[in-house]
Amino acid sequence: MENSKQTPFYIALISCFLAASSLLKAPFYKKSVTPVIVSFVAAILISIGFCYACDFVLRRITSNNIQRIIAIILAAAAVAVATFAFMEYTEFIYSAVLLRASKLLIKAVFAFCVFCVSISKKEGLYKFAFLSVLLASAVFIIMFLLSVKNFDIRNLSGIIQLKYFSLKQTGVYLLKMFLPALAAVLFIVKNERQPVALPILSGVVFGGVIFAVTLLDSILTFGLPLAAKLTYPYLSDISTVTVGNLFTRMDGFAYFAFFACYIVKCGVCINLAATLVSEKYKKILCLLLSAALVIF
Amino acid sequence: MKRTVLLLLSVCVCVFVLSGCQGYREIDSEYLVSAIGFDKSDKKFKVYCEVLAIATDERDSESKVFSASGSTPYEAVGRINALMPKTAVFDHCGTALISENLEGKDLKTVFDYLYDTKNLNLGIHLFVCEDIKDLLSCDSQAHSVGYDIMSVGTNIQKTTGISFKNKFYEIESRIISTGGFCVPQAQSVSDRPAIKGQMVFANYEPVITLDGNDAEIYNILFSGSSGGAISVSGERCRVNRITSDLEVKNGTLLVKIRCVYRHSEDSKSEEIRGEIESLINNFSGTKALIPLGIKNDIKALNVEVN
Repeated sequence: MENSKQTPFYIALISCFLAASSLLKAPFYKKSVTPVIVSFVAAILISIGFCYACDFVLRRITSNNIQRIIAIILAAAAVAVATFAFMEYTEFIYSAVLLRASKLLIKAVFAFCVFCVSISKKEGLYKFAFLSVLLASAVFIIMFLLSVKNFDIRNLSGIIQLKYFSLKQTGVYLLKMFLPALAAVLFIVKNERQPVALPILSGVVFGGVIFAVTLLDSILTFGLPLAAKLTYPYLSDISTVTVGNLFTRMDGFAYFAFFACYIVKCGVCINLAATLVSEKYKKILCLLLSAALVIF
Repeated sequence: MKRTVLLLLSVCVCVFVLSGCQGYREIDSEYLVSAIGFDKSDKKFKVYCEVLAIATDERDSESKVFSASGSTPYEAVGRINALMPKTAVFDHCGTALISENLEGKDLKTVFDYLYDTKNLNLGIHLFVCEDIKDLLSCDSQAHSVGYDIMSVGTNIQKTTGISFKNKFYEIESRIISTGGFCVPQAQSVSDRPAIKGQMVFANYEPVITLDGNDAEIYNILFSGSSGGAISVSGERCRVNRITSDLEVKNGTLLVKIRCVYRHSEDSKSEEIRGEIESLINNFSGTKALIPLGIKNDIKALNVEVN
């Protein structure tokens, strides 16, 4: 496929990563009222800088042994990203959705889904990410519009008053959102031979917009202090959406968006880790790594 | 193309299949909780649950009230669940009734329960009332007093434009930001649920009860009014929107009001302006403003009616 035709898929993949990092647990430092905008932009700039620095260093390395060590370190980082995403999602499922279900069963089912996604071909992964982001965006836009009647414009004053920069909050954005998204960037760079800088930047922007829409939705409904206090602010927000007197608890419709984003994130990370370690035993490694997720 | 369509179809199937529909049950095999009430007597929490037993034929649907006591709301609700012959579903509970007996630490315990219980919606409507049992035994139009009280609040908003802002998350948000909050007061009038005023709380302690004009002004100032009616010399004048801009100076609340009036042939802008000014300057519920840092008085600085 040509690079331009692939662009929406790259954007979708990175958006999935960013959305999966911020949809469930909003990235707030210690659940307190913290600066949002300045730290958010700073985190994006730092992660882009980090990306270019890595690229610069890697281009100058010619030794096969060092390349091998770097590949193993990156694979370990990808597995760590997958593990944290897996833990976050399964914890959400058994603490907020399927309260009476067995934890092991939930983990086993999700790990199996991750395995199925991770052994897919790259085209399949791109398409799945694209469809997931398409459906997720539709859900977020519909939920945003349905929430408008609950919005209190005065809640925005909390954000406007945030004038200063917080290093800790920037760190939270970096660790929780942007550095994990580098796994998606690495996946794209490893699979494509053409320059992909612009699609990657577009992906970061689109993912940032999804994050901003969902965060704004929660803040306009609850206000920043309460949104920061809630464990799952966006989920709590959409659970208050009602359509007339008949339709209440519309949050069920958003569960698929959460599921899709998290499964893409975990699947791509496992696929990347297995590819970095050994192309030959990729499927077996995917199976082992997916099965290992159940432990956490 | 064929593969893309198949993939799209499978994703659509997933949307419905993976939406947490585990443990599917028939609706007539469970009770739908419409209202939950909290009281305290003999150092124990007493919890009331109004449930809807939905039947296939709507005329056969009926509401029942269960109650139980416990040292915590969790224990009391657990006992109610044990009493019920069917499974209680709390997800669609619309109203939480708080007894006027509850205050301080006990009220906080109830608020913590409402916050922490996953099955209860954060958008649940809160009301205080003197006698929960009496209120829940009212005659109901929608088979449920819990949903009826919600409708009463909605109707007041439609006719007068006053928004009570009594959803649990709205109150919780105010507690975090100011420590003060107000909850509408529900009561039984001629065997029908009605709202008589509002109770203002500071740090979970009741401060004052407002009714009539004072409740109306309090709402305009702190909850906002999306439109409705202002009473001028006994006649209700429709207004599109009333917004307030508040400033605290030396412990006095200075108020700027902007009212967009629905013009008819004979404009009553001046009368409305005078009425709002008089309502603000004669506000007798100053005590309700203490939680908000207002110690002295309230003064209409500028009232603009367009």
